[in-house]
Parts: sequence; structure tokens; C-alpha cells
Amino acid sequence: MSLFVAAPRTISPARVTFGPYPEIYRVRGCPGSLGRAVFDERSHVKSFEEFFRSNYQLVVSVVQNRLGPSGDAEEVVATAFRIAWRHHQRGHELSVPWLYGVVRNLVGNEYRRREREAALVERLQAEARAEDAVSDTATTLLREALETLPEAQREILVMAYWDELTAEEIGAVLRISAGNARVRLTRARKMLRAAMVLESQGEGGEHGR
Amino acid sequence: MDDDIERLMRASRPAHVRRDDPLPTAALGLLDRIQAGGTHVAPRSRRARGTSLRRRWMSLTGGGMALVVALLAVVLVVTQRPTTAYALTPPLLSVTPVAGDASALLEELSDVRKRHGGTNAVRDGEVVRSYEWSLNTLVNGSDAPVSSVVPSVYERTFAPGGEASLRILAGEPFRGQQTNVAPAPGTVLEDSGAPVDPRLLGWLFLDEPPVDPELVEAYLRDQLGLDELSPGERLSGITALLRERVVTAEQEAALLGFLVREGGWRLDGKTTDRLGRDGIVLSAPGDDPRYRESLIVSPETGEVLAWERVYIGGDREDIPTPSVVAYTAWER
Repeated sequence: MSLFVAAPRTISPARVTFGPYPEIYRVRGCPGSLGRAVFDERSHVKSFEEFFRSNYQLVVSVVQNRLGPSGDAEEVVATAFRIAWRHHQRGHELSVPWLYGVVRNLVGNEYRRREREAALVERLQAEARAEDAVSDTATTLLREALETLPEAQREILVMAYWDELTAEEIGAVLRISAGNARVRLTRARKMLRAAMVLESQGEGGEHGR
Repeated sequence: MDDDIERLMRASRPAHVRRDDPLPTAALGLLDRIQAGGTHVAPRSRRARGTSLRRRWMSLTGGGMALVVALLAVVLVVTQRPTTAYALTPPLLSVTPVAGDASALLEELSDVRKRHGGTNAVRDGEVVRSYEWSLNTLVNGSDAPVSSVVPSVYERTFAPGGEASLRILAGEPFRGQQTNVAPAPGTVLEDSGAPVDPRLLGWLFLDEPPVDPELVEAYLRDQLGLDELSPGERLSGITALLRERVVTAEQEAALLGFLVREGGWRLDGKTTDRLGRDGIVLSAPGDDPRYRESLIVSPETGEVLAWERVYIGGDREDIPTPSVVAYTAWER
């Protein structure tokens, strides 16, 4: 039984290649440095385009999962890719874990900028849009329980099930092994289950570490 | 059971789009703008541009001064600090090779453990107490990781009804560690309060461990939520179990017997652990080949005394190789 996702995500080898460590995805054709004697600008631009096309929807979904589908979310997406473009122009590697870190930082800034109440309204509106057949009650219970978890556990659940990152990608973002990421996910699922039981009994609130 | 949680999580996903959705047309416009160096900002009025120019001039003047100050600071820092800035990690344990058949030795330790009796808990068998440290690395979307060190004493208390609580105290700093930034030893860093369902503490091992070595593999996989275990994960899985449950002598002996059966580890030798106890060191590669996991077992009682994770890769910039990146030493 896979405890992570139904099947590990396959990243097309035509788009990316593995770096020296399996969790880091390198963009093929990305120059190591702008100072190289031979610099193929077309290849440079093309590799960014490939990275953009491969990861645009990932970034949109990560931002929407946290901020809701607002105009601010669009701006965060645009800012993330502008940062990626500058990073690429300076000759640095582009990778999904790196981009994810940038997006998380931008979302954090956006959270700080927004009023907390406004963010809550966004989340509740987003909740109402959940299209799955699961009952609203169960979804609401899960969301309330999720809010009571420590940030580390909440974050890994969101990474896996909302942002749809693979264990390898989560490991690279958190600088832990993929196996460790899977164990942490198991831990978080067990915590969430227990928190849901508490919430259903009307005993929710701050607990845990 | 956990599939329900996965299904519910996915169903409550706020985002409208999925990672594999086709690229919308509007995204191509954004790509063009980014590559052209443009922005989304609407054209500003002449007055706004004038204000902006004045601001820019002022910021350039101020910026020039700041640049001079910054350059001076860089020169001072570069000329006065060492060239590397590694995070401080505990010293590596000194290991002396031992002769003999590794499997036979571990089998013997398993028997010794069974005969010795007792559990891994102290204080009337209610508290599992361990000295733990890990190099916490934070990556905030930047290229440079930020590392920090947290030596702590963990007290996991088990109530008769199956509930548990956790208290984390500041531990003694290890040799060479800056003491002025660490909290005083004994300071309570975290306290979960009244005993609760162990799952609320993020603990994995909810079921009683087996006393038969043949059943340990399936037990660990089930509790850890893994489809298979690498040799290193067997050692770290045993560590997690010994942290989160009161384990009897028979159960602990079965853990050692399980390692004898599975193999995949090597006998490194004998050492003195961080609490000054003699120990036999077994190690195995982690699922990430840049790390190696070790268990230290008492030659006198067969008790697992400590676990360590050592970085042996060559790609980290925050620590040299090899470096200890985490350890747990149980009070026993």
C-alpha cells in the first residue's frame, strides 16, 4: 500500500534530468555560469520556457491552496517566475524544490501582508468550492483538525495532498531523505486522524507539540 | 484507514488547478513579459515619475554611502574571519575494530538482552528518557541553508491507559558549543501537558511490538507507513520505536534478532558513547546514501544505548564530511 500518493509522479525525462542526487531535478541545457566562453542564449531561454511550462500549474496550485484564487495569488505566481528567471539568468540551476521554497516564502510574505481574518474568509470560500463528493461535514472537520496540527505536520500534509509533491520533492525541500519524508507523512496522518476524533468530540483546540 | 485521510485531504484541496493541467493561454503572456523583462505595473503618471526620479536620486546618494559602508564591512569580515563557516556538530565517536563473527556477536547480544530483563524506561517504568540532538537545517527558498543546533533531553511519559505526554528540556551543550546563546540546561523547552492520545504527539508506534524476530520487519513497516525498509531504515525504525514506546527485554531482544536475520549492516567496532558507556557499534547505509545510521548496543546488557546519523556525502556546504547530524542516547 502506498502511503504517499497512489503512484509516484513521473517527470518526463525529456523535460528534466536527475542531478547528482536523485531529489534534485536539473533543467537540461541550463548553463552552469554566464561567464562560460560559449553561451547559447536560445538554449538558455528554451530551458527556462520548459521549466515554466512544466511548473506553472504547480505554482498556481500551491499559491491557490494557501491564498485562494485571488488577484493576489496571480501576482505571487508572476513574482515567483520573475525570481526564477533572474535566478536562471545568473546561471543557477532551476529545480522544483528550489521553486517551491521561493513560493513558500512569497506566500509567507503575502500572509503577513494580509489581515488574518481576510485570509480565513478566503480559505472558507475555497472550502465551499471543494468539488469532491465527500460530505461538507467531513471536509470541514478535516480542515478544522488540520488547523490544530503543529505547522511541521500540517505543512507536510499540504505538500503531499494539496500541492501533490512527491516524497523525493518533499525530501529535497525539507533537506531530508525521501524515506524520512514518507515517515513524517505517516506521522502527520496519524496526528490528523487523532485531531479529527478530538474535533468531532468538540474538544478541539491547541494541542500537540 | 489512512487512505480515508488521504482521500479527505485531496477532496478538501482549495486550488482549482492541478499540477498536470494544461498550460492556460494567459500563462504564455506572463512568460513573454518575464523574458522581456517587463512588469505588470500599469503606466504611471508624470507626477509619479517625477517623484520616483527624486526618490531614485536620493536613494542613489544614500545607496552610495551605504555601499561604501558595506564594502568596508565586507573587507573587515573577510580579513578577520576563518575561510569556512561550518555549523558546529558533535565530535565523531572514536571506534576501535573488534574481531569475530558479527552476526554471532549480535545474536549473543540478543540473548544477553533477554536474560538481563527490564525495559527501556526509567522512573518506575513510566518514562523513556533520552538525550537527543540534531542539526536542523532550514531552507527558505535561498541558496544557502541555515543550520542550528539543539541539544535536548526528551522525557516521554506513559500513563497506564495508553496515553502519553512529552517534556523537552534544554540539554548540556557539547564541547565547543557556544553556551551564551543556548538556554540553560534544564530549562523546559516544551511541555505537552496532561497525557493525551500518543498520535496527537506525532508518535508512530501505537501497537505492541512483537517478541518474534520474524514479525519485526512487518511490524516496523506497518508502524512507519513504509512499503519496504532499507538497512539504515531498520536501524532508525528501531530507534523511533525505542523513543516512543516502553519496550520489554523480550521485545528488544527480538529487534536485535531481526537485525541478525536481515543483515545489511556491518560491525564497526567498540566505542564509548556520549554518556560514557561502552558499546558495540553497528552501522548501515541510510536510504539517502549521503548518510549512515549507527546503533550502539551495550556488550554487558544487550540494551540499545544510542543511535547516530552521520553525513558522509560531499555536497553540503554547511558541514564538513563526515559529520554527526543527529544522535539519541537513552538513559538506561
